[in-house]
Amino acid sequence: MIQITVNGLGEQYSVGTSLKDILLSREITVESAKGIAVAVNDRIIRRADWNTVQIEQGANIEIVTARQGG
Amino acid sequence: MKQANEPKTGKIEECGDWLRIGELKLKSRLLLGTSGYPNPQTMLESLAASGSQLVTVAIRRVNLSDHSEESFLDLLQSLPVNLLPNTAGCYTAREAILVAEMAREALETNLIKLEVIGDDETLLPDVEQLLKAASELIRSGFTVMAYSNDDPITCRKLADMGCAAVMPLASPIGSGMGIVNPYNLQLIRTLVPNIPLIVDAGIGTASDAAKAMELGYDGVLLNTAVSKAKHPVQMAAAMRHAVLGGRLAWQAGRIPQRFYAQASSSMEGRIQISS
Repeated sequence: MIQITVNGLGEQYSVGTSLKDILLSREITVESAKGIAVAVNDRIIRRADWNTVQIEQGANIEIVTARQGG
Repeated sequence: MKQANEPKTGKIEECGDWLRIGELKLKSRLLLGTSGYPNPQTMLESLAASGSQLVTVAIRRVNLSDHSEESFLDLLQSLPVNLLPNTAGCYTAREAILVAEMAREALETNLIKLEVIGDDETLLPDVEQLLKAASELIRSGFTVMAYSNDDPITCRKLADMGCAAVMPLASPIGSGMGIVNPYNLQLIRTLVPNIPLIVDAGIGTASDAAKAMELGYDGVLLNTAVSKAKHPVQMAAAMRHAVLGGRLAWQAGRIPQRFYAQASSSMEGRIQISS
């Protein structure tokens, strides 16, 4: 297992889990991800690369969208 | 034949007076925030009443257990407005650059309202980090609208490096104190004559917005003055008229101020009474 952080919360996943798998477990797919952006370890990951990015021990994943702001 | 300097009528459409920011061409010179309204319906009605075509949003974590935030974006994207994501809450250039990149990915826009804050108490910009972030974002193809201190030198640097708009504050964010240093804002206008200047932050009421426009600014960005007003929709309409009124007054050219009175009615033909 690997220990990672998703939007500030600690979680465990199997070794070899892809970013796509983690997002899918949150009901986020490339098709449904309009208005969403993802960064892993402070680097933006384009939608086209979600399938290929493997998540490693200690990864920090940030999933964001637009919210009320001034 | 129409004269070249025919008077403006006050109707925006007839003025042909566009605000251009990057590739955007806006009729409205009022930029409005989306935060702090009593409810979503009031926000929507306020946006409509303001006539704003460029509205700000923050970039924040998706709530993974509640997908209602998605409807916020859907709501905005159903309106005839452009979204201006901000980097609110960023304290370093590095943070601001990542948030800008995430905003571009999420919203498919190169526009970014760049905020790099120095501390929690004042929310004043950290100039060093702001300049660094602006420079890198411009190099990465962003259309940077930089929220700045009302410091003429910083504003000139931001303009010179290629920001699409420079946005000095009227007073601290959310303070509602209005324009505390009109001299500096005027000086900034003089030093930055060719880049859109927008007064951002600190506007409290309609006269503040009109004053900003009368100083020759190209637009006004505000949020709290509307969202926290007793009647937000009415205040949004007031701001719309104030910005337009201020713009027209600036274009019309105000009379010089003088210390002593000058009668507008001629003394010629005045009656004399018998003593």
